[in-house]
Amino acid sequence: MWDWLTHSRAELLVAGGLGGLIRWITLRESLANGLLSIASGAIFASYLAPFARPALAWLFTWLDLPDGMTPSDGSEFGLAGFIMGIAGLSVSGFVLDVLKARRQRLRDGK
Amino acid sequence: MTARCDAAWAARRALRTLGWGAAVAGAVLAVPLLVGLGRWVETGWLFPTTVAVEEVRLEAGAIRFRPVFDKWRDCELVGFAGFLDVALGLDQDRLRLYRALASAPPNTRPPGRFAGEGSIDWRIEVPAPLAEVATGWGLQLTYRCHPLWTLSAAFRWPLPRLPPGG
Repeated sequence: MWDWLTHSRAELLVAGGLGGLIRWITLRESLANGLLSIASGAIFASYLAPFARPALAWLFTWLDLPDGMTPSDGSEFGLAGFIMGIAGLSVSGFVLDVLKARRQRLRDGK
Repeated sequence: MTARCDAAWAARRALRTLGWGAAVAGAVLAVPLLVGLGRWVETGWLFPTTVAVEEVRLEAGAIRFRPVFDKWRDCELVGFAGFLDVALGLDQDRLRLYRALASAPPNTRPPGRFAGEGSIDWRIEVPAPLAEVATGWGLQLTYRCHPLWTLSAAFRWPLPRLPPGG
């Protein structure tokens, strides 16, 4: 189980899922929506994290941390997954919220 | 108007998620960021470094020198160029041409980082016409020891005459 969790792909899924968990907690949504957020975050992280990884790798290189504090190769991948999971959920959530509000107004006849 | 209200409401929700996400990511990054900031301040602001050269030797057309920093630092050699001093009395065009010819690439790539001290070898290939009028040669060295600033030092060796070919 631990081996699977530390695998890079699984690390991405978990990090993105944690991003979805943040959204669930902060917006206090229903259980179903929360689970959807976690799954969506994992998917966003899985596909978008490679775009954030170079920036994080550059940041860690620029910081030039002392020995022992330098993240090992690939460890910034999880953080990239978390960031992209949150970012993807925020963008998609914004669009869905606008559509949902619009639908609600149409339904209410306003 | 209602569409703008919907967008504002959705944006507030998105920003709430983004804000909490940034807080969590910032907490994860806080320790390495603080360590990096401390190192940055320590190496760049509190203890500025100077570079000097001790021990310069000419060995069969190559210059060997040992840079010495006043404190221990990791410094990276990021640039160097050779130059020649030529005899006075030449017109400016020829002078510029000679100076351009003199910026020859090194034959040996020096090690990238210096911790405390180190040495590199350098060879300047001198075109024969230029050697006739050369009166001295030197190096311009640039080190980067910090993201904010670089060190630069130039060294000259007055030589009576360079042999053709360095």
